[in-house]
Amino acid sequence: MILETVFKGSNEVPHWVTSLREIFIRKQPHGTNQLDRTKKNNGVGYPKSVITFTHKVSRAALSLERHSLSYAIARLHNTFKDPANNTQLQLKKLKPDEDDDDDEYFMGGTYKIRYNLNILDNSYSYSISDNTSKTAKSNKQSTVKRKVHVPRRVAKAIQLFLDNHGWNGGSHEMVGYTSLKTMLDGRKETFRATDEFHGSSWYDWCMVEWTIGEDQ
Amino acid sequence: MSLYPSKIHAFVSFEDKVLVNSIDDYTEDDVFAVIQSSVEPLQMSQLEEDFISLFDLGFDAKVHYQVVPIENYCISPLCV
Repeated sequence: MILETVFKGSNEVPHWVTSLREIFIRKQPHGTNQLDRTKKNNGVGYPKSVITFTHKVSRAALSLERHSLSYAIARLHNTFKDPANNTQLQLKKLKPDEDDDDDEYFMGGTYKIRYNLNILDNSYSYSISDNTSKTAKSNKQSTVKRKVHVPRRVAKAIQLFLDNHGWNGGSHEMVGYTSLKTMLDGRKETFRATDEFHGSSWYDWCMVEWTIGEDQ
Repeated sequence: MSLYPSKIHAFVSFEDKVLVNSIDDYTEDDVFAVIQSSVEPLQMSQLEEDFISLFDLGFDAKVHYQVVPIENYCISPLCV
């Protein structure tokens, strides 16, 4: 591989280089940004143990996922051709192309979750309405309705949250979203949490900050 | 302060104003994330030093699955 020849003469190809390449390889058959959760990767099993990269690598990888593997390797080759340079400094240069917009984009679907709590036996039930996703392609708007899957443990977490904040029975309705665009630390970020995105599930990850004394 | 790598399962907002007002400092416009956190915290300094870090994801529904406000708790995206 061209990229690996960059490090020829050094002890070995850095692990993060191999990991970046695997990001491109794993696009098939499991879909964009998805890991095969039954696959063993260097002895590491999923999902109990998972590999975490920094957010800089995440952004760099996302910017390259839209291109072919050969293009990505060539770009990485140019960026990291001087291994003496600081790795973190070089990673900052890997920014998405400003003029390389997708011809199809996702605006974020919504769905309704209705909870019902029976205060007599403290049992609860919930129902989820159709998800509505909007996509735009070549200026043609289309609306797609489908069911969204919410795992029971997630539904239980929401129910516990409601219990802890004054829910004393009856029904409660909330809105669920499959994606969220927001500003974090001065950066524009898009998070997705959906079981259906361009043919596969996509659940993003984040660092959650808990202050001392809060439940965890 | 501790940082926990977490998987995002859903984004939700609450329409019950009374309930929302019982949550300190939050309004009905705030969006919450339902997350599944790691068992142990992972400090950013360790992540920066190791570059690739391992952690165990928690599966206790009452402990590791939490509803948290996006703006105040989710500080950085991760590639996993």
